Amino acid sequence: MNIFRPIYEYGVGLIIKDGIEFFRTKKSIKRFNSKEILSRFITHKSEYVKDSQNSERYLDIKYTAFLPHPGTEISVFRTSGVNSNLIGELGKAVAKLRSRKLIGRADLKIKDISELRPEQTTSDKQLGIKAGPLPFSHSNILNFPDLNDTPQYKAQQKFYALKMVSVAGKLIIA
Amino acid sequence: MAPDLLEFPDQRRKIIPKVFDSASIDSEDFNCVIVVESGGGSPDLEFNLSANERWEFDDSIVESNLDAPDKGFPTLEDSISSNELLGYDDGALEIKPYGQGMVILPSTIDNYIWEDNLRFYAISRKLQEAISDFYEDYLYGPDGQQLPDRKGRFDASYIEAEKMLKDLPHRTPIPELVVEPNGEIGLEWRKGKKGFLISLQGEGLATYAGYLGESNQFYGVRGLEKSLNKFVLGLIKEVN
Repeated sequence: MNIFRPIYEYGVGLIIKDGIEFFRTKKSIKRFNSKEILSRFITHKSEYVKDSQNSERYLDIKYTAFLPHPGTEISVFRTSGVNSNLIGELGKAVAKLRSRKLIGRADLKIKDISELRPEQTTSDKQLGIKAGPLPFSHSNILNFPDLNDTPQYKAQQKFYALKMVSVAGKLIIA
Repeated sequence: MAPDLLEFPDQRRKIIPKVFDSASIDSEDFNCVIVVESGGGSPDLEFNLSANERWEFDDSIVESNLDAPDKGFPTLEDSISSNELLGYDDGALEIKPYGQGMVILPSTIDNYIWEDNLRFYAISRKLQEAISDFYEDYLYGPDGQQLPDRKGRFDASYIEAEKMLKDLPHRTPIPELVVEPNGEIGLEWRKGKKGFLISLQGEGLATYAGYLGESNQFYGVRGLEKSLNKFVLGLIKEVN
């Protein structure tokens, strides 16, 4: 069972105001590729493990990187086949919109995430992806349980975050 | 399913007796000797630290010099400088985490540092870092005002997290400490793709989640009763 049910639609995309337009294409993506990569930009210190001895070392990501806050969605970008320098520029622009500094990114493969199968389900909704157009498509992973609901919903939300951070591997430093 | 109980060795060991030149504690000439010994009365290894010198330590110090029954469980990895080891006449020991305020450890007996005290130092340092990050990342709203709901939840969660950390056997692998955006404090153990977390709600409840392989994925809620630590220890064993 694939937990992700793609929502097919044309995305508006994110226009960076300082002269960079990342989303000019109107091409829509009809189907997610299971090998496709979703990048989650890391802009908070609370989202990764620090290495005081070696700042260049790729570090572990904490599950807080994949906790929706606030709401029930997390923002990701579809970056398969995109030059890493361009991904970095996009990350900096995103961080700027958040009034924060880019630290790095965590990459997920849709295939890895789709293997998520909790033994029990509290929420009546499955996770899904709301996608925009390629390239540099801003997308949301949505339908996380709401933190304002019962503790069981909170636990399920953290399970999703833990699973995602398990497959994401190390922080890719900007 | 996770086992009910994991027996981490819980025998206290004194690993670092200290010898201070008490006459020059506050001077730049301060020197101290860190001695690792197995309890037989004679030192196995000595480290001489001069002023401003930093000593890197990890569990290999214990394992290579002592007959450690739990070889393979890295629990300590940090460093401390001679200037952070301060001795007092009454035998109390004080350790200042580097760059993170001050943590006062309980008095040592006969000028020994107990291994679990050193472990507590490492945990305290991680916790201080997580708290500092939480304050910077999430505690204040866009208008610069502190968010009272988050602060209140954090304060309540902190008490519960501190108790859990103290109650775990002192050879338990040290978790990553996480302060979540809403102020709850999580303890996360991870090795490779396997991981387990428990998060203190500040309301007498803990949420937990684990990913221990395709056939062992779970989440749930438990009260902070005595059996919780056994449950947690069993899952830490599964991760490691």
